[in-house]
Amino acid sequence: MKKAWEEEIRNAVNAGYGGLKGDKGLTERILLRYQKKAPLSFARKRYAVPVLIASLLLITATALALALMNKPASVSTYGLWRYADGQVTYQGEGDKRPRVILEDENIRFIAADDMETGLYYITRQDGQTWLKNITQGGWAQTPGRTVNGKYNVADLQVTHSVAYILANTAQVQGQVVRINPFVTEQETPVSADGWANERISAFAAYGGTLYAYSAEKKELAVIDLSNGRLLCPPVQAGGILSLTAGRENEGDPLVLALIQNEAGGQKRLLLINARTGEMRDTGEAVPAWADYVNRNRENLYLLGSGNRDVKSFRISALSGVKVLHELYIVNGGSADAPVMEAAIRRFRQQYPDVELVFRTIEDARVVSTELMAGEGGIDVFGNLFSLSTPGGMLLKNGVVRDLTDNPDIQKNWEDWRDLKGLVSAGGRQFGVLRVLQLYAFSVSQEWAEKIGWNIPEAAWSMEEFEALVQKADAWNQTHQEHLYLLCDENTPYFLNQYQTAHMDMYAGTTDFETEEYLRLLKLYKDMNDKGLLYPQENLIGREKNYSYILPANTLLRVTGGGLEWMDQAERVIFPPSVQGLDSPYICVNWYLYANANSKYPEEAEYFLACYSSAEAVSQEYYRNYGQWLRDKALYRDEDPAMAQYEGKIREDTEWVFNEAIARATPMNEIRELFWQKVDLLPAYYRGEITAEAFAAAMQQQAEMVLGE
Amino acid sequence: MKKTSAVILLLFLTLFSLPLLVLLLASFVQENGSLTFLQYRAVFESEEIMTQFKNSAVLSLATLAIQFPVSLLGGLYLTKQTKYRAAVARIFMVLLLLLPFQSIMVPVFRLSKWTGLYDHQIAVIFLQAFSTLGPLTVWLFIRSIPEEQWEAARLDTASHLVIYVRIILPQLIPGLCVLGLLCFAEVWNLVEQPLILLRDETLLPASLSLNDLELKNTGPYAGAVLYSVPVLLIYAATGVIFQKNQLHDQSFL
Amino acid sequence: MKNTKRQTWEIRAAGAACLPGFALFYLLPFGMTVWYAFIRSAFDHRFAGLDNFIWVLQNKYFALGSVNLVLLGGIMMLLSFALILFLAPLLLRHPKIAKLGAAILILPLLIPSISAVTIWKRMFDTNALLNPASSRWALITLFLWKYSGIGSVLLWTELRMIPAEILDAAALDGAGKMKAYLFIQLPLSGKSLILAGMVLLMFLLRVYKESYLLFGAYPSPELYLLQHYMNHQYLKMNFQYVAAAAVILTMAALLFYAAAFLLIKKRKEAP
Repeated sequence: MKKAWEEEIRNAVNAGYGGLKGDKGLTERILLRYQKKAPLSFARKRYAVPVLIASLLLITATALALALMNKPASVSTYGLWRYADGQVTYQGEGDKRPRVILEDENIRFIAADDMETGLYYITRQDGQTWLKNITQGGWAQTPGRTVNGKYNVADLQVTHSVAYILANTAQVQGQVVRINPFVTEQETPVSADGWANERISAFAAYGGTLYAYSAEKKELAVIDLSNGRLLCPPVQAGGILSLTAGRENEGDPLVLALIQNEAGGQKRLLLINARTGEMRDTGEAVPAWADYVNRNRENLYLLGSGNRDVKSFRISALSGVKVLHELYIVNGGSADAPVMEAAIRRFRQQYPDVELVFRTIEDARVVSTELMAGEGGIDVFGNLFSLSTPGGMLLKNGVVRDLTDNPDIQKNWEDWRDLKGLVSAGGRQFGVLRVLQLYAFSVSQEWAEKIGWNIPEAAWSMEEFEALVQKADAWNQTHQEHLYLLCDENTPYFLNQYQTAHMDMYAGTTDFETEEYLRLLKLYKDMNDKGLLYPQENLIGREKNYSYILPANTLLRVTGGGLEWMDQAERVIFPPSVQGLDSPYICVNWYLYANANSKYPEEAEYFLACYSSAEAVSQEYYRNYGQWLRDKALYRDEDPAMAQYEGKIREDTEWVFNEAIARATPMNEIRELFWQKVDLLPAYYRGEITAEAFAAAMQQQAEMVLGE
Repeated sequence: MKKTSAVILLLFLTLFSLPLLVLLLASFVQENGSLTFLQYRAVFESEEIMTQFKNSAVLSLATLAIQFPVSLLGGLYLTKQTKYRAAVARIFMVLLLLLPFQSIMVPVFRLSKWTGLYDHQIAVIFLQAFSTLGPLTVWLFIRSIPEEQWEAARLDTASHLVIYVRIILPQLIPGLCVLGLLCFAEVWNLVEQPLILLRDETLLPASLSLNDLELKNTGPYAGAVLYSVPVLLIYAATGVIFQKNQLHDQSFL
Repeated sequence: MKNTKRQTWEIRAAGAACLPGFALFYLLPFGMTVWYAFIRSAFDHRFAGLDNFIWVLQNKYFALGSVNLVLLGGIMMLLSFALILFLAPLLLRHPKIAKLGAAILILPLLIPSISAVTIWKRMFDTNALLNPASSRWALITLFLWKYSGIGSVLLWTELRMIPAEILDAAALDGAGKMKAYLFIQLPLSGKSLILAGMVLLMFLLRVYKESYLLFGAYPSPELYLLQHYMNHQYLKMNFQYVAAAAVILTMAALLFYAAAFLLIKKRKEAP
């Protein structure tokens, strides 16, 4: 009966609603209504739609609010170090909160180096006062040194990796004393004609300049630490609790000072012109807990003595600099490096109202997007870590500005060695040099003697290398002790050298399928079969990371890097050359370019001119990248830290490196081919593919990269 | 026969789940082969990863909150607009849905700068919320509903919206659940859009570090497992909705 | 039936909710992309006419990528569809298993690609130069695993909505399960199949990510897809070529769409 009744309803529904056959939902609803279990739902509740719309609006508003919430405050680019409750913390770009780097209950003072990213600190250990340092990564650059017990340290500052303490002795109160953190040489009080280094109550050291204030004498002095001279006569100032360097304005050194004219009175932040003595209230609200000031490249920080509270300001704004616009330097290296500081100083003389902003962008897609968009954010940029975009190709594709006709940049070449080829393609200059690293061979003199091999003093040929292969193999045949002839890199040096010589990325041509390449491949296989190649998988620890360390029983190792890096090896020699005795040597270069889409092309090019000027380049540690300038005497004193810690560069290393620079050719590295070589080589060594197949694969892939 | 098909189904599901099980196992295995929770601990202790997870949640939920109503209304528009206009709109929507994002990456970046949305999560949210996948999907679902239902319902009301909300949508709920999952999955796995539109690293979602093409930060397996948990929860929730809206009851017949 | 005034306004309001956003975030950028296709480069905005299109069409790697996209992509789509059509009715037939099964099928879509690739690299030899066959299957199986599951679930959802009495009626008429599936259920689920196809195509055109993780930026020629070409031109900052390729792709899709539309129309009109 029930089924018949249900059948009737269904038929009625189907008949009444035309093609709704089988719409069980509707049928069900009607039946339920009929049974008074649920009301018919459609077209009756008119409030449903407004409620729905209101709900959607509410959800949307909530969603928008969530997304538009204030970003968490973060400390600016170059970070802030603090010490509180026995912990040294660092908060850098993107860090929401400080990270604990070190725990030490006995630390008394900390100071960040304005050049490197490390921190120096004074601590008590074993009854002595120590000066130590630590980096953001938590490791120490030096073992530390003791401070003479006669100095009762009252404060610490560091500039250009040299430490300065404010100390009291039995004879003098409030004296600024220079300490070399890297060697235990005698501490030296700072001196300058016309300035008495005593009764100093507050001081700061930044950018190679000392700012010393004496509350007793109500005197503020500014001293150039590189030559020990006053920048200008001391000026009168009172009530300074703490101070730091402001941004130089029109040649006048500026000081930002936390001032409290009377105990318990209102604290203020003043800008003091150290040349004229003019003081100006910055107008910023200073909280009562602020006890001292600190700064990094961009920001000034007010800190409490507990080091928990912090308030930050832009230094350029406080210094009264009217910024017209910003010029962005992306992936250009450390803004605090001496070479960059010199470039910035020179740039500001021409463009004082242009703010230089440094950015780091790791992802190539972001860099590419911003470059192509031309919406600002990149005016000068450093190397892209992406596919084959070497400088020449960037110039060819119109991505970077052609610097060939820029008079400022071209004038710089008068001071340089003839290295224009490194920054040019097709006769046009695409950028300026920032980093240059070369390849050489580290050699074991002991093993050379053992096997009776005369270490070549100058360039040597592949034929001579092949003869050495035979010699090494003969040794292994007749001796128990096994000799490895060569510890190479992941990709064989000679293959890279070949690629450098034969691949023209600018013209888009390459040729791997030649007798020469096959010969090199067969040489490698021969060495591998004879056990003359040091197995890469056996490299562990320091051997793996430091290419100047020769593994045991190895005669030669491919060593790539800077001058000082190479000098760590026992001895370095030129690599044998594929193309004959006078052929070029591989170098790895990083550049700075001017974005062709920059809204400020003149400023961008001028910055590059400043960066490549002798004034700036001479600030680069000679020990890093060798001699680029014609006159070696122009280079500043070697880094006091490294020179005294590591010793002078050996003459032979210096000679090899600088000679190689003269013949340096940028390595044409295509990252994809790099990894494919790494993958294919084991198969080739195992005999799974022939040399011809290997060469064909490289040719095919290179053509793909160049031919797209 | 039913038994055989069950076995075959289970076999395929086992094959599908094997990589998932490997991933789950790998999240508990250390380099020395021991089983620990260290990877999970590292994830929970990492403030950076937790912030990224939070950002992923904000982006996904906010996008869905806007995308759903937009998709529903868009579906209605595509259904009820005149044939010509709807066809033109659909063609453009389909073409732009299929185009790789690289094709419009530079223009999108420029637009975000012009509109001031750059470096705000709302830029990513709007970009995804107005994606054409939703309206097209809803339109396809609506097309499965006979036109006669619209006509029959017009006897009671002249409003398209009311008919849409009261009669059509309830029948689409199962499909909308799957659409919701799909849209959520798309936003959850976004890489390029947040990469170029968000400069502040504290705003970036977890998908970036978990899908890092540069392999600098491969992320722990535990991160990948935890990354899938919210979607499972959403799937479970939609499953409940799906079951509640099951319109076919075999026993009724 | 002609719309009333109220209905017209409702449609307009519905359109206003989605079209402006779509226009601003997709249509306008695409318009700009078309503009980029006709200028020399992103750094030189001078008019280039059809030079970019000629360059791209003459480039052998664009051709290689397009051919591989059709061939390899076609294989991936076909196999995906085969899997979808195979799994969906099984899920329908076993609702208890389907509850967990659907979760298992959807989950791969959400697993980050790099985690999946790590597992795939252990299962397959992904050195594309040494073993192109294994590499090809690595990509195909990864695609199937990641993306065909959602298609299966979509189809399964649609199949569940089909009234049971239709199938009963078919059974009464003597149609077996296979026939009912092929000739009744599938046609009724056409919309889901279209949607699944659309979703699969969308993911196919984004498969560069998986390919990059498996093989690096430059796989062997057999695996070089159009997406590789476009991504590489992007990183080389030749956006004009990316734009030209995008326009060409769009025109091709439009032609395909038009051809499909006419074909369907013709079939509908056929007596």
